[in-house]
Amino acid sequence: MDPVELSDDRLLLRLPVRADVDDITLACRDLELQRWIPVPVPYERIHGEQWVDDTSRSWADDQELRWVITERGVSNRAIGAIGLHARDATMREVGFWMAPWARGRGVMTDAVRLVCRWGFADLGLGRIEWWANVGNYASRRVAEKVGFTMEGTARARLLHRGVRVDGWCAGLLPGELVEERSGGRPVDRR
Amino acid sequence: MTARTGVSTLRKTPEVRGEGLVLGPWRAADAARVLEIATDPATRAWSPSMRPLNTEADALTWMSERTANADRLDWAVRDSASGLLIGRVGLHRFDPGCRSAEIGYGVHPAHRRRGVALRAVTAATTHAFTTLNLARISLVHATGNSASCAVASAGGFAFEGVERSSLDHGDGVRHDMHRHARLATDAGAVPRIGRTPVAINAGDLALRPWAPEDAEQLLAAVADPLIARWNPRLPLPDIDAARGWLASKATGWAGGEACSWKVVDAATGELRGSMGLRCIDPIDRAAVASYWTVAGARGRGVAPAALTAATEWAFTELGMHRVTLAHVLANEASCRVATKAGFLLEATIRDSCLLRDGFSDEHLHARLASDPRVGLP
Repeated sequence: MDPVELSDDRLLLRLPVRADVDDITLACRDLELQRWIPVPVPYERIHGEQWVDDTSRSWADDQELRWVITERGVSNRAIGAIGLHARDATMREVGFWMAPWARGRGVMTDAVRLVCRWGFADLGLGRIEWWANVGNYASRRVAEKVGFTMEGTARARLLHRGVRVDGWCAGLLPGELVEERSGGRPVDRR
Repeated sequence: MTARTGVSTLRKTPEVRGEGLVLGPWRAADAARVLEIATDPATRAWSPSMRPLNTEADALTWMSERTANADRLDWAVRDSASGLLIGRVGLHRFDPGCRSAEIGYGVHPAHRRRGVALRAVTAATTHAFTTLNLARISLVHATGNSASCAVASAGGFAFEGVERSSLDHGDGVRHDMHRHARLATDAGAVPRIGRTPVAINAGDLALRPWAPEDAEQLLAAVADPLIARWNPRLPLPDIDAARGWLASKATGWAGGEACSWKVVDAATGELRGSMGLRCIDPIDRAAVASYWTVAGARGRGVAPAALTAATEWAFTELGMHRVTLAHVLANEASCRVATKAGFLLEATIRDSCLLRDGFSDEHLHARLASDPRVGLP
């Protein structure tokens, strides 16, 4: 599909460009990010360039709708990334990472909410999935805050740099998105 | 973000033997039976991929598309005795990175409730782990499909969660699904298929399941000093011990771990010996044979004939690939039995059997399903 930008009063999700490569490379060298996200290790500048350059293809063939995250009124620089990966005709999987210098302020929660809202409203998705390596509580907290329900643990389901690891699976269905911001605390909707 | 691919180089459909069934390629002659499977209401409900099939021509197209799809390994499931098409089973969504795939299956409506799905799934999963070197097989089904849930549980596929609205059934409704999975490393998840005891014909001899009323005959036979010498778990001191031994044989059949028979004269029913297969391992498709012959029946080829018949049965009916046996070195008669029945001597294993007078080395013999046939006198 044709790329689109998404924005709300706080964030602008835009397409990654070559000017983002330094920020992306620095973020992807963070050990905590590498612990949970299967980016290449060591992460070289060329990896950032390839990821940026692959963006138009990933939109064109619908496989991954991909953005970098920026804060409106603060800076146009990328502080994280988010994407919707194709699973079936009406299901996609959300994936994301945040630069270490931008964590802890609820930015990712807002970005996931923005993307999911758009996915249900504009793409007509029937389900959005979230998968993470077991133990990635930072990612899980984001998913739970926007309304994802933890559904199970699939053993040896994910590949993390050549090692098969257990994966948490969660799902978000139309109408389940938590629109209000919670001040950074997990929301228990049950 | 997780990275997954759907690449596979699988093209040719290998033949896979399971218990009482054979998985093999589709044939044009299957079209009518495939259509019977497809138009059955349960298939219509739970197998959306077969929903568009309304004619035999549709069935032919479906079969050829399945076979041509490089990301599928699809089998016709046939009864091993009659060759009749009784179902389908297949692996798809191959993930070479995770070494995982997903399994799907269906049973012809006239062959349900006989464990066909479980046996076909077990054969395909065993092939996936042992030949394709996969590490994980997922089994997903719509939450309402309780028959499939039972197959998953019996087949050792651990329940991992309910993924809501996750299954696209092509009917415009997204269905909740159960995710089950079996890992190659799931030691406790080796599926055990309980079996109804069956008899085997072996020419002048017959292998018949032991019955509770055999206790006295058994007790008398194992009182023989040679049987006691080579079988440290025998003799049986009294009739209660004999009954306990017989009960353990019934448990072996019911639990799927072992099959055992009395060897009798086919004409008179007179007891000639004992034949057993134990440690039946559906993953490695291996089993261990053991036997003894009553004192008055030795030297007449009873044990080689019984061993040959039981081993052939293990290959064709249990889908075994390797049957082994071990005998203590001093038991030269047993070595001759093994050799006559085509069991190659592979090794001398040290101190592997504790006899009453101490540990003894044993000969390890084995026969493979692919070994040349042996001609018995």
